[in-house]
Amino acid sequence: MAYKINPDVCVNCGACESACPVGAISEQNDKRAIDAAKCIDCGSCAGTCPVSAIAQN
Amino acid sequence: MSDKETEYKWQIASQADFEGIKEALSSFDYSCALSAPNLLDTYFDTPDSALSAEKSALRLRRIKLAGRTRYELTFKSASSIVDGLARRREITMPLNCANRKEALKKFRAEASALNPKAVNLKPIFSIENKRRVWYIRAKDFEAELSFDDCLIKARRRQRMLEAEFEFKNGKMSSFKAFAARLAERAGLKAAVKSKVATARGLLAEDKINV
Repeated sequence: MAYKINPDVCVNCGACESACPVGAISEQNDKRAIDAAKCIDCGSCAGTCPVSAIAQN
Repeated sequence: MSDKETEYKWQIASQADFEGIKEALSSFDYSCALSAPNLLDTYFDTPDSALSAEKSALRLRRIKLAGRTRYELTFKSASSIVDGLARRREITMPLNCANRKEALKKFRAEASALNPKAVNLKPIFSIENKRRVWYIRAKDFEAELSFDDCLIKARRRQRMLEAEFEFKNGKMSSFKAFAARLAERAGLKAAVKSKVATARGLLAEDKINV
């Protein structure tokens, strides 16, 4: 998986979920998580995260 | 900035086919330099798929080579294919950005300037490509021979191998003759589907299966 959400930084605002074009991000345990099997590595989520919680592995 | 792409695409079934091309090349008179970039190509379209409808494509390419990362925007028009040789208008411009976030922002701005239809762009699929490139300098033309080992990510994944032989400059007739001899000696067949067409096919299958 190219992108990962740092759960310690994520504020669960949902901006990344809205930005993801393939529906690879969902809420899990009050945080957002990326489904590696769906992710196409476009970087849209990282670009939209207001707290820079998403980075490439 | 270049504005035209002229290339042959050949089917590759396995690593052995790549080796077969290299072996066939050994009988030709040319000099070459090698390169092995890691590419990540993300293709974009509008919400109503206007670019797919006109058979054009917009690509953000990340190039990792020798410890450096850079980004490029490419706009490709629909191609015409005659005797296996594909020609299309292609505009490539470097995006001088430090990271992907900046690159995405600049990409969107430049894309709409290139094609007025390119607004509200969404990524639709990506292609990871471990490319090996032979920069070939023959007597009266220059070309690039690329061996592509790709993973297409369009919700579902598909691995794809392909060889491309792209004309750069010089005499087109010599390039074509070289390509014809190479294809004959290595037993190459024209690719049936491009990487982009394969990815769009995966997306279309997903729509049908929903």
